[in-house]
Amino acid sequence: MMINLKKIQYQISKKTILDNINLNIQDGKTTIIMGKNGSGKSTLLKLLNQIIKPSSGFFESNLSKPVPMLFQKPLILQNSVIYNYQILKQIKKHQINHSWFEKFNLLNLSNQKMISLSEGEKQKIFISRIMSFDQSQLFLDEPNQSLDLQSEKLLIDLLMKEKKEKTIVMTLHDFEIAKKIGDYFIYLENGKILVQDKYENFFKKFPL
Amino acid sequence: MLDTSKVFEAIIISLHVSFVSTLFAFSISIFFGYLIATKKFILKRYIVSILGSLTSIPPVCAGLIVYLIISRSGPLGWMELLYTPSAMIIAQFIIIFPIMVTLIINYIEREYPQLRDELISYGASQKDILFLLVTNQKGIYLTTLLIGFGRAVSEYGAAAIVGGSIDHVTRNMTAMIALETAKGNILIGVTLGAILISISLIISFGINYFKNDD
Repeated sequence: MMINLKKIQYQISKKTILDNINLNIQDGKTTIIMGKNGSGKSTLLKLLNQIIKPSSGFFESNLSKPVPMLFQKPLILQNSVIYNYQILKQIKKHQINHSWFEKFNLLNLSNQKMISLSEGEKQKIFISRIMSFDQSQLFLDEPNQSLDLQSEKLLIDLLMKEKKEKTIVMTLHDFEIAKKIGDYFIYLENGKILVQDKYENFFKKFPL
Repeated sequence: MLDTSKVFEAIIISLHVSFVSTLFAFSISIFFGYLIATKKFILKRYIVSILGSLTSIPPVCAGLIVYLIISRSGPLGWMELLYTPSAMIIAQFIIIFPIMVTLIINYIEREYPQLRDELISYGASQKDILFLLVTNQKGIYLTTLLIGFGRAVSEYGAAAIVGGSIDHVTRNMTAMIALETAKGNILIGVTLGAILISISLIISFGINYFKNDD
């Protein structure tokens, strides 16, 4: 077990965003959180990564603090693409792993200004930025958003390799991608878990 | 006849007073803007509302308030600030501080939650977050500086009340324009107006150059 949640509730200004969440995130597995817009997926991901604290309930994690996470609206640091890496090195004091940067073929964008890039290019930079931390736990909020089909396929291939040695928790809208990558699935509706199960059982309970 | 030495003097007085008041207001605005936007405390909503309302304070009223405080019979009369450039700086500060701090609060309130969440996940300290909050959108701060300076350098009423338009001491460009026009020297007034507009434009272009250099 990596993260354990029991009867978790999360409220903002008296509005319940997550309610009665009971969940186990398994070490070394890929967990996919799905659900409609506004169902609480991003909030649950932030809660699992300890960016936000639950309003009530039991929370246990073997991570002592948050790990670098891909947000749905990632932070755009102005200036050049390469600055986005260098500044994080300064903050985290980590050795930058450039492999995803190279795999996404972003080297030719190094000196370009972030503002001049397309949404898809930015997304690839945000994903590579998170992967540059080379951590063993990944929290990814809709990593495939804005990507073209070719880049999406590359992302899936790369994640398939990563999942062998990492614990991944991510939100997704695309059931086909989820089926390829996921080991364990959660479906949220109005802040509550509607279905959660392993691959084989989830899609039986949740026929599409 | 236009006395060029007097014009230069007025330009120097205008720039000196406006630069100091703008930089002073900007520094305080960043400090309070950050505190107000990022902390939760009682009366926060009211403070933000009051600052928002003060953005439209009539300069003459700001001048009058400063006058009452620093005049001989006022609480700070003993400091003998009336009719000095310092009095003009204080009056301009009162006019531009609410504008600058409100702009900075709005920017930080909008950017901070997202920036904080992501940077916390990277293990950033509060110092790192503040650094990136300031450096990531230099354009916002340069625009705030420009708006503050523009308001300060073009202001007449407050500076005239507390500065007194004293020749060689507190007669800035706007005071000189008003004086020459009142004397019927329209051409001199227009020339001085053109010089003031040119100076403002040069400074705006300079700031915009840095802004676009992000």
